Amino acid sequence: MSSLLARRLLQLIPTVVILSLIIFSLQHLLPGDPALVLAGENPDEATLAAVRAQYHLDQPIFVQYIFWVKGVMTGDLGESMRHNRPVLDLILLKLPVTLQLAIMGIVVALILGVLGGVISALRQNSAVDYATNVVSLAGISVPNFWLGIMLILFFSVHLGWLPASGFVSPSEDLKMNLSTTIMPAFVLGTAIAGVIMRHTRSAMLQALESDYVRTARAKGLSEWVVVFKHAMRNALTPIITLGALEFGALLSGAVLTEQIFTIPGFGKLIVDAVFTRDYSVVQGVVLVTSLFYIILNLLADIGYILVNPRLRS
Amino acid sequence: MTQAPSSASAVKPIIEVRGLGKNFVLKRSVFSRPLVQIRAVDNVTLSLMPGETLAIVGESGCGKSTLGRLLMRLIKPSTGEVFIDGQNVTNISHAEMRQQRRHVQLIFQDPYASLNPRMTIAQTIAEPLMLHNIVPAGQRAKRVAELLEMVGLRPEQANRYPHEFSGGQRQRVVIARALAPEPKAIICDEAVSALDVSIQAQILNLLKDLQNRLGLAFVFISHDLGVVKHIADRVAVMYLGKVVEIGASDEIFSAPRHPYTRALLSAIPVAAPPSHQRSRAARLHGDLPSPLSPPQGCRLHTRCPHARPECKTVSMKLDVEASGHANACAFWRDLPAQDGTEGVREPRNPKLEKLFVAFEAMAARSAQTVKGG
Amino acid sequence: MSTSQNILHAPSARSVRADDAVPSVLDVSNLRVVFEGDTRTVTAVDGVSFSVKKGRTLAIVGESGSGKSVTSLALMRLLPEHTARVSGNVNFDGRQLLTEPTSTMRSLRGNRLAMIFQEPMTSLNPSYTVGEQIKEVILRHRQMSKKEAAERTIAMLRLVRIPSPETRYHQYPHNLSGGMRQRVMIAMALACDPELLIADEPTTALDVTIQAQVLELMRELQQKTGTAIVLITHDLGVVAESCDDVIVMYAGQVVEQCSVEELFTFPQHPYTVGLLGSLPRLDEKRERLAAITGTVPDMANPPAGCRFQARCPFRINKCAEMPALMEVSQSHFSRCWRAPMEDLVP
Repeated sequence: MSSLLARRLLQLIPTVVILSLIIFSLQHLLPGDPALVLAGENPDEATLAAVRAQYHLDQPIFVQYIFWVKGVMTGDLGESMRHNRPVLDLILLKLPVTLQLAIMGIVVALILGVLGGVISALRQNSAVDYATNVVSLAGISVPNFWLGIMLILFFSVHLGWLPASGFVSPSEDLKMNLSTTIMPAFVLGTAIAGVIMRHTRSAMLQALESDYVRTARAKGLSEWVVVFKHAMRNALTPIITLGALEFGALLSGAVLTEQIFTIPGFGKLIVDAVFTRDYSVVQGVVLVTSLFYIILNLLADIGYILVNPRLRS
Repeated sequence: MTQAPSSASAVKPIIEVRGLGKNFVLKRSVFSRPLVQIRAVDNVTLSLMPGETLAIVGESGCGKSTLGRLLMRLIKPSTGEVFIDGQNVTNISHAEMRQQRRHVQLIFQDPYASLNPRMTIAQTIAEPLMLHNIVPAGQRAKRVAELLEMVGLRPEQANRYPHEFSGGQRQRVVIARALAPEPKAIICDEAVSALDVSIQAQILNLLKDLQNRLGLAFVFISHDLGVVKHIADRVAVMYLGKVVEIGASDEIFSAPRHPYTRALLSAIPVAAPPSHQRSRAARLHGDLPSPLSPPQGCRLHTRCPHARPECKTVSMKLDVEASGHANACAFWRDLPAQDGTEGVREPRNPKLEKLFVAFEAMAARSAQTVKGG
Repeated sequence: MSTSQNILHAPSARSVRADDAVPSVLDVSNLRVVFEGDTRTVTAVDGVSFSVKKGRTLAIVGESGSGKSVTSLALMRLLPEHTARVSGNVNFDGRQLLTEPTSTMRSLRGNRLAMIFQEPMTSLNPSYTVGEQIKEVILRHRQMSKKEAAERTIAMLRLVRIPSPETRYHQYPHNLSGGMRQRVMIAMALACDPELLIADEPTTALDVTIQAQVLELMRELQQKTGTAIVLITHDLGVVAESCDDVIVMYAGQVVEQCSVEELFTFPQHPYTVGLLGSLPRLDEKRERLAAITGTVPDMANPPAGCRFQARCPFRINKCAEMPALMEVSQSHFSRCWRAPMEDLVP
């Protein structure tokens, strides 16, 4: 197992290098001279030269890359020109919000997805199975913004139970925090629940048809034990990987949902940054979310090794 | 053999291998240096003569399938040399090998998996004709029909798809495809193992008929010694990558030398009345050792009923007798007289033998009146 | 397609034999299994009757599609209920298994009726240790503490001759060889001292030398425990070596029933004759095998009359009528109009 892990960690090195190259070149692919943006309005040649020197923009691109990597390693992701604050500060400010939303979203997705998948596998080809299939398909295909708007219309405008938008930090008011995040979390979760449900269903069906489940039945075990101990344990292992990847996607991909509910998370940060051409913020957010993705992937692999005795030894 | 398959003067082997070995790497270090290797085939030397059937027998993991693939140079050996039709093909290029491949064909265990489900039987069989440009395009359909008839299928069935056939019929299609490039040898890797006994007998009969008619040589890889006894002229017995005994089929079955061969023979359950069952003295104990770390010395010593302390250090060099019969047991001359002949004999009820004869005679008669099926 | 027109000779009403004093553990009569699909209905088992005596081994032998495996799963009531219609009578120790409530079936399975399967590779759950999987069945059916159950598990592993059982207890199925896994399956099946063990092709996936060991183990354990065994196999050699009585199945029906000695001395059904004739033999080399021509009939649409007639060299006009399983000699039954076969030998 340790060698498997070591190999997996070594494989990360090229991934991270390529990732950093892509993100670094992003800055240069975007139109416009970064020095012009950094120097503020109507700069003269001297100011521009000073800015170029300060940010090493007069150096060859390779040297610029080295400086950038050095900066990143020491936590220097550059400065937001719009907020006049280090990018890292901004990210650390928004991260808890997005993290909370993503965790709630994945919990919703796992509960709905796994439950729906198991039930429809157990009742294969019944009305329940067809119904869950339709619902999951709807979850995948209905756009997030539409579902978000519908929820706002129903729960906020019509019933008036929940605030339509905004965010309250949990340290301020936990109840308000939950009532502001429950709808966006549900919107995020349903989109993923469909995918998880389909996977759970097919993995469960396969497990229920397997020889070891037949053995479990031949042992006289109750159907509950057969399904939840013997079939589920094997069916759920691929779901670990799927869940981790979807969680990674949630961390970076909640842009629309955060916009609709005006939640001040990563999504909103990156959209605002793009619109105001705040390049260093875009770069920083993309870097952090990508790193999250890579780490989650690694954790998923470790989790997979841990639940799979074949890989453990 | 009723017909002489080839003239006695042409005694050049079709396939010859010398000192053949194949290692598979199971685990590599982080820097892809091989950490764990398995010697699937270890120092094998043998040859296949025209028109003969050489069986390779052994249990799972003994390396017989790997050896089969090495014999036709489907995979590259780690050590040793392969000659096909006199030509050294150990290191030749892919393109050259493709030319050679025509001479040696392969049949697998699972006929369904080796047929393309989207191709009709005719397309499947015509493919090698096209590939090696054996018959002019205009005559291909006729040749396909001939091949189908040769394997006992009706030419009308040519436009059907594999799923429309039963397992036995599919294996016939696979055989027809293997015959298409007019090979000199066919390697049958567990070719009848997946079939029911009655169908298996049909295919075995077909293979024998084809051999007599076309002078084909077969390498027959099987774990089923009954089948091997029926079809083989010579038998090579493998254990953990090594050939432990090789010799004429009759000798192997009537007077096996190596304890492993003896154990295999005595382990076969025989379809005879319980009152005629054999002794089980020669049987092996224990489980197959891991092929990753085969035992030192004689690889059988951990399971051999005749093992002695020296077996842990002896080499497994083949002791070749004048007749060509060879075995790798250093102490085979000291072994107790094998129950061999008596052990394997299945006493028959003469009345039952007559019933078999009547069954066959009637079956042959009805086969003449109703053709096909 | 109904085939109820044929009257079955109930073999449980067999005439007196030397061992008839031995009580039977299982009596099956007129078992039928019909699979109803969307497009076709297949009668996989069609009026099968037999009984199994205490401490003896009954072989059910047949080729693929003969209905032998379906028969065994039907006895255990392990067939999917929504597609398989099972009828007939299965009497096990005074209970009618086919009509018992599911909960009763569950308390019998793994306890008094146990089963082992063909594929030891896939029949064990890859995610749990071997010990856990055996302990589970003991805890399910026996009033034992976990510690006692673990001790019994190790004793069972020792009984099936698994070396260093204490270590093996904590290993996963993938750490074991095929033969060892089948031993684990046997230990699991015998853990609660069942009266009846159903073994569905238990050695088919194993190598010959390992097969010999496993068959010998089963025989030995049977002598120790007196468990009755139903052994389902396609291999006549296995039947000869390890069974006492035999039924031969063809296309969902029993075509011959007798003792193993009788079957191999002189079979009474042309299908059995053909099967024995098509076996390659170790004691002589023949140029050709007596193959049975043709293939098994389509079970969705079986032919009227004898199901073997299309492949039978001995067929006569009467074969268009379905023969019953008729008594040929005192304990030998055959479903053939031309039996006894002695009359066919010139």
